[in-house]
Amino acid sequence: MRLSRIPRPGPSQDEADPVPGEELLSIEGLKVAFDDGSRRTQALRGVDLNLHAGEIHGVAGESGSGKTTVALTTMGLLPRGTHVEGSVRYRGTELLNISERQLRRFRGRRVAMIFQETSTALNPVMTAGHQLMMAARTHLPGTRAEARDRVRAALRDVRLRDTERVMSSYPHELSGGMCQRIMIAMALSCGSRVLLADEPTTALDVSVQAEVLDLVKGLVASRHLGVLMISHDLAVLAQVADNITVMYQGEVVESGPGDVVLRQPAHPYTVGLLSCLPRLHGRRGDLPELPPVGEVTEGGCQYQPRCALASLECRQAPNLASVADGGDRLARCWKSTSVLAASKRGSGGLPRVPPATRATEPSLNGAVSLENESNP
Amino acid sequence: MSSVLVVEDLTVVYGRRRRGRVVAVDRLSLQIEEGTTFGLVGESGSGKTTVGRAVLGLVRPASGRILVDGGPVQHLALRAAIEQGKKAQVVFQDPTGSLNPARLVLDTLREPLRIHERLKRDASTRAAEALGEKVSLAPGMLRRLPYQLSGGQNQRAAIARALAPTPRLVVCDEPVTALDVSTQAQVINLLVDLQRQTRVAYLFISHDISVVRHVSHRIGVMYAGRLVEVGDASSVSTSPSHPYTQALLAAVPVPDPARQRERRSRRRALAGAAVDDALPATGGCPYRLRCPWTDEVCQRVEPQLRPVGEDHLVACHHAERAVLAGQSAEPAPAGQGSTADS
Repeated sequence: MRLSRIPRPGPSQDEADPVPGEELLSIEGLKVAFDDGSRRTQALRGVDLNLHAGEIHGVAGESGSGKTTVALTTMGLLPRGTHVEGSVRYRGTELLNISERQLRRFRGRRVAMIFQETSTALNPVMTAGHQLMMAARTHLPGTRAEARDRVRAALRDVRLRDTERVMSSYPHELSGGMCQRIMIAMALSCGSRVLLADEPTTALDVSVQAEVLDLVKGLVASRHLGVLMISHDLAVLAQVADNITVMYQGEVVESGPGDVVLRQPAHPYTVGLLSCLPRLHGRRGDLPELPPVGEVTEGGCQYQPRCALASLECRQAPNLASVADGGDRLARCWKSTSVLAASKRGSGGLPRVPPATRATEPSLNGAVSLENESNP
Repeated sequence: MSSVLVVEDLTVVYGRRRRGRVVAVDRLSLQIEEGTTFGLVGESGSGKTTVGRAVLGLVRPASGRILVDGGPVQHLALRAAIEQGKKAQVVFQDPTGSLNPARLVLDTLREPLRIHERLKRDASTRAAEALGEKVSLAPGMLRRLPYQLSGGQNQRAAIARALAPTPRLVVCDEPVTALDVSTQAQVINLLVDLQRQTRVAYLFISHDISVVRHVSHRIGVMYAGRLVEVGDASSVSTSPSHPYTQALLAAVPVPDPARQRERRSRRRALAGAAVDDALPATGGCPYRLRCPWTDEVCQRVEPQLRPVGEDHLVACHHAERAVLAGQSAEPAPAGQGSTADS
């Protein structure tokens, strides 16, 4: 079988268990561009992100914001011919531009990834046990019996009790929540320290979602894993994330501790994402919407076409910078101070401006001040 | 107001042999008035989608009666299906998958106009463009293929297609689940706006009670094929009286870490057993294996829907206790499943 060609792990790959707070993953200035022959799409425009042992780091943003690309780059799973610049290091070792052979010492063994669609991530014609065993035996030395013990232990760690039944089941015989637990168990049994979770609960029911999130939180605390939790839903990240990075169009627009970013956002995009979440208390059919994506001024702020606060200065791209009185947080906005002041007052959403007005006269936007808002 | 949809004692059974027999929907009744939305909530496997399919005539009920706009729904007869299509339409979860990938969106919109309204080519094009405008899709957008549009745009096209024959009822089966949060808001607002304009009724199916309460006038909560709680949307969402509804509400994520921590402990108190482990019970109350209030009565007697307020019915023997516990926010008593998180 092809798998046998994967280098068996030697003693050199044993490494010390991470101590809490140790930096596991360090991403610096990551730029990724996809070429499809005629057109180049800039997926990431310089992303910085650090993940520590015992930390859940949430990455938020809409489809197309580049949040999945960050994870795929780290895993070395980008298609051939993709332009990648910058650096991704696992405990100091560079993972970019190394050979496939070297990468295999980390991928699955130190850094694992789980996906949204559990039903497609697992092979439908193999039992869960077979797949768990295959992963465990590929990545770690030892006998079949040892591997089986590790798999059983991992299944218990993800709170699957009837391990024998689970292992002899095919994916279609298991629920979505159970499949996602199996994916997590697979990562654990191979000794991964870093888990990249791409929308791990989006396809699950809310009650199952809550359980899986609790489970991940528990594992992070007990094993000092580092988890990069990718989601479009800030409410999901609020349940688990210690730190949150909000991405827009391949850039980090805001990042900082979860409490700070979610309770007092300083970037209009974060405010917008929060305001359009359905609330348990609120009027029927009256959700604030984000305006549609528009043309970006060359060299200007990426979010400007959708921003209710955009003015002339936004034709220049702002930097990711700390915000006055904003705590341990960075935001990429010229007006972050006033946005932060508004969210501290608790006035909620941003004023809504009809897109037509903005498209013709961008400078008009500045006339709408934060004080005028009357959103419920 | 007249009822657009009447469902009485609907039972749907999948599988014929005794071993594989699953009662997907069990003696379920509901009504939807003109111009209103009935939200049907429940987890996967609760039977909510099957109700929608039965209403559309896509599965044959084992027993019970379904009337759409006064007429009975017939199962899978072509002539009847076309007539039914004029009255009841559907919007599915996966917007891209529910549109023909090889057809311009415009042609997809023209098809129902051709079949139901018998419009000729030019007339149907004009009508399709007018429909597109209603869902904020410019004529240029309509002349694209589904893969060239975003998920939200495709879902708006699917909504336009559903509304093309001016139906009295649209079954929306998880219409925003596959969309980004920001796009969800657009589609929800669009559905509500269109309802105000056309007086169409929605059967809105979702597992997410926070989405459901934003669109619904009335909410029904399903568990194991049964309605366990039904009533006015604000009563059900602000004073949930069935332990299952309470658990569903407690599981909804809120974007505030501090409140989330409170809710986590509350959720643990409300959850009897881990969700994955507890299959619906047979005999007695189907929820009893997951319920923190379970006692001997729940094992023997299946609870029936009974009023607990104006337009608010609950099928639970212990609704009053559950409500009291919910109001005082005190943890429920340690039931048999309270070790779930250990």
